[in-house]
Parts: sequence; C-alpha cells; structure tokens
Amino acid sequence: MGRHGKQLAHLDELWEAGVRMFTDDGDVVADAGLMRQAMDYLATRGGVIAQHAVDPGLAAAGQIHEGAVSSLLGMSAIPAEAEEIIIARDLRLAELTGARYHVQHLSTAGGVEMIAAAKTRGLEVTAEVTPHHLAFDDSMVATTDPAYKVMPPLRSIEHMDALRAGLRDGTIDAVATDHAPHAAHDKDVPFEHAANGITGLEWAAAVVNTVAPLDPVSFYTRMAVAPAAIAGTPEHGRWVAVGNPAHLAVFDPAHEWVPERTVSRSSNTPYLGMALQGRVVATVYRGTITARDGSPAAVALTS
Amino acid sequence: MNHFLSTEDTTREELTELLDDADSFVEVLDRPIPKVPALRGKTVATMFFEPSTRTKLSFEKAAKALSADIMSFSPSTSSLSKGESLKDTVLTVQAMGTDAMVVRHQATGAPWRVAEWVDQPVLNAGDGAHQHPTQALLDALTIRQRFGTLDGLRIGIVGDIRHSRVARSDVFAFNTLGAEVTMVAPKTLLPTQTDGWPAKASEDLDEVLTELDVVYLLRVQAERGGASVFPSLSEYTTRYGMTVQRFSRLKPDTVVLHPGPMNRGVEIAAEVADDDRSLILEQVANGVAVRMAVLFRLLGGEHDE
Repeated sequence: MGRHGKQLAHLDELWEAGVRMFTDDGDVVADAGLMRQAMDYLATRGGVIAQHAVDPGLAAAGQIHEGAVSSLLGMSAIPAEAEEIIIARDLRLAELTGARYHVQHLSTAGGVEMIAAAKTRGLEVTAEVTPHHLAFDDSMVATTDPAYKVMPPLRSIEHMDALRAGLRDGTIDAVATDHAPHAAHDKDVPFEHAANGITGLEWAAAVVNTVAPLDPVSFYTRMAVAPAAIAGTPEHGRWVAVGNPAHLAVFDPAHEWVPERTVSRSSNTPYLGMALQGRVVATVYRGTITARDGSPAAVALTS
Repeated sequence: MNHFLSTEDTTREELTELLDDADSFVEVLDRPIPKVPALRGKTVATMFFEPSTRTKLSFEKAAKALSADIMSFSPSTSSLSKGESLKDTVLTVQAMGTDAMVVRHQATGAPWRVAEWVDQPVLNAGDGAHQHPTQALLDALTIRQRFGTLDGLRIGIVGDIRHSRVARSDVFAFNTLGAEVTMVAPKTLLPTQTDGWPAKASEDLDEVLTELDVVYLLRVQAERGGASVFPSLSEYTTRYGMTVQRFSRLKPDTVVLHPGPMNRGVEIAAEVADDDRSLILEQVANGVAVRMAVLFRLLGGEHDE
C-alpha cells in the first residue's frame, strides 16, 4: 500500500474494480514475507503479481549498471545480481504459492535464464523487456548523457544480447515500453541529478523490429497479444478477425527512416536520429484512425 | 585541445607538451616577480560546486601568475541555494564575460555537460570519483622532475581507488607517459571491473612494495562510508598504510606522493610525510605550474614572455 512495500493494498476492492495486475513498479516489494502474502491472496483469484526486481541493499544509491563503464566513471552502480536475486526469490515464492508472477522490464541475462527454467518447470511466469534494453548497452552511458539514464539501468552487451535472444525464443513474452516522460529541466542536468526514464512509445515497434527482428506472428504476439493477456485486458491484443474489436496498429516492416521529431510533449528520448527499420503507419481504435504518418488524428474518443 | 576534461583520451604528445610548458612556468614562479602577461585581459571563472581549498587556490594562483582576471564562485554563497540550475548558473557567469571555466562538481560528467552548454574552454577540476586531470599532470610533473622521465618507472597507487578521481586520472596519465602502474587496495576499494585498464591490480602492498619506484598513497576517505569497505582504520593502516617499517623496505630512490589532504597516522606515518623522499609539497607547488600550462594552452595566449 502506498508503494511502501509494508502492507497489502486493498486487493479485493481493486479486483472488484477490474484490476488484474498488481505491482509496486518504480519500487521493489523487498519484503519476502509480504510478497508471499500477496501471492497467496491472489493465487486463487488468478491475478498476476508484477515485480520491479531490484535488491535495495545491493542497488544502494546505484545510478548505472555495475561493470566496466561504471568502474571507469567511478559512479555508484547496480550489479545485475540485484535484479537476479529478487527474481530467484520470487520464483521460489511463486512455486510455493502457485501464484502467477510477471517480471517487469527484465534487464539481465541471469533473469532470462531463470525465467526459462521456471517455464520449463511449469510455473505460470511471464516477463517483459523494454525497447531500450533491447536497443542499447551501457556503453551509451559512458558519455554521461542523461538521455540514457533509466531504471533498471542499461546493462552490458552480454545482457542486451541475452534479452534479444530471450525475446526471440519466447522466454520473454512481451515488449513493454516503460515510457517515462520528463520535463526538459529534469534531464538538462548532470547525469547523477537527472530523472530516470526514456520515452519511445511511438517508435517501440520500429525499434524492436530494428534491433531484434521477429517473424510477423511472433512480433505481433510479443507486442500486443502477450501484453494484453498478461495484464488481463481481453479487449486488446486480439488477432484480426471478424467480430474482434478493431484496435489496430498498421506496421510497415520495410520502411527505413530516421525519426527527427517526437509527438510526445517530452523529448527525453535517445531514439531521435537513430536509423530505424519499420514504421507504424497508422493506429486504429474501435475502427477510427487515431494516428497516421506519425501524427495523432483529431478524433473524439468515446469510452 | 578545446577543453581539458580527462586523461583517458589525452595523447603522450599532449601530456608531454603540457609538462614541458609547466617546466617553464616552474621557472617563472621562481622569479622575483613570478608573473607573466600571457593572459592579460582574459577572465577565468573558477566554478567550484563542491568545496575545495587547495585546487581552487591553485587554479586562482595559476590564473593570476598569467595575469588573467578571476571570477570566483563557491556554492555556499551562490544562487544555487535559491534553486538555480547548474545550466543557468554557468550561462549567467559566461554572460558576464568569461574566457574559460574551471569546474569542480560532485556529479560525474558535470564538466562535460557544462562544456556542451557554454562556448568557451572548460577545465575539469574534479568530477565525482571520475576524473581530476590537472592533479594527474602535477603528479606526473613531480615524478618527471625527480626521475627525468616516467618511462619504465613502476608506480604503485595505493588506497581507495574505487572512489578516487585522482587514481582514475593518474592511471591513464602515468601509463600514457610510459610507466607501469599497479593499483593496490583491498577488493572493496578497487573498481569492480578493471580488465581494460592499463594497470595491474594487487591486494597485497607488501608483495609489490620493493619493486616500486613511486608509491602514490591515496587519502582514506573516511566520509565515504569507511566502515563498510574496510573493517577499521587501524586494520587499513596495518595492511596498506605507509608505516615507518614499510618505508624502510622501499628501494633507496623510491619516492612517496600523496594528493592531500593527508590523514597522518592512517595512510601515511608522520615520519614518512616529513621525509625528504616524500614529495607532497613539491606536488602542491607544481600544481600551480601545470594549471598555468593548461590555461595557457586552452586560452591560446600569445608567447610574449
């Protein structure tokens, strides 16, 4: 409750209100006892517990991934193990309780490995990865450009490669943007004082298609079907079929281009100027075009 | 050279030229009137966002010895307390008419940000635990004065390398100038990954002690949570301190350096600090000369000595 990780939220009321996915994202549920309670509570209902996995003791005041880059910069850093330890613990708790468990913004090779093993054992475990953890490694942080400051931090190339492979082989079920807009003055400061977060919702599909290309079925599954299934939003992520809701993104996988502007009101993004392959040509919500050629369409959405 | 931010990417030629210039400024500083008009009419801003005594004074003395004017900034008396951002602060100072900016900041990379914002040379006077390149220059100058060259010298850097911008600057500068560098510290005070560094690492000072030509002792930064990185100060002294006993085992020509301020009795025994083979005060004196050299090079002063 209150994202403090001290006591359970009003899970029943939230469930009644339609919530199917529960998380303290932004913070970890560090207390294993509390995590077990939440899992026990939700296991029979079928909701999913999603974790922002980071051990607070190991992470301490860390700003970036612990490794060669952090050693050169002398900046306090977060080892991959900070994420892996929490995932390992939670997987044991998921096994104990039978709860559904989801790892948010997975960033480590060890995490990929453990999730693959848990799936083999038959646990109801899922994971997501962000476009930026697929696209960048921590060499981008060496310049201390605050555009690359994000949590979990961009990791070394071995981790990035493992995430790409995990997305390809299905260990990682979904791509989630972790889209985090910030005001310019929160990023136009030294790295250590900058806010965490990257925007990139509008290029997520293009970035994934560029750095970790998939066959069309897997691509649509990771980008739309799986996210909707994990979050329990049955109206979304449906295959194109007669009778299904017309929530569509029209994607041209062959289009090569370089984004030079963003339609977000924030510009804390590292993607401007990056060569991309593939482009969302239009989006459609309930049969109405909501964006076309990179610009939002002027439509009145009814609920 | 547009800015002077790091020793990581400086070449041997650049470092050597700066040291050669510094040699001539050492001679200037020895004159009855220790001043040249090289930067007359130029204004140097010293922007110390983190408290400093020696480095700030040293830069200011260097600027004055080149006849530059100085604008001095310190955080306690500044608009920072009114919430002004770093960007607005440096742009404001630049708008008053400065020609170069000396920046110290507790945040890693801050001088690089400043260099993006302003349109004049930026000198890094220390950023976080990252870089302090003029310290490396003054250390190299001090060693070169004693040995004539750094080529082939064995230099041990001992202590809290993980949190030290001095160590990060020295490792690269010393190596570029031809020395063989060994970092000596307990694992908790070594950077976590130094595979690509041009230096060896050791946890045992006594093992490498007798090979060294230069022992560079880092300050124990008790304020950086000493308790969690080594068990106690006395244990540190026992394993890594330059005690009188260890000093007596050094080769007869081996010298001891320290960036200051010293913790006498912790990383260095008082007897060692006061010995002729301790070059600590030479380092301080050389700091002025190397900062003159960097300012002179960046501000393109005409040679009219």
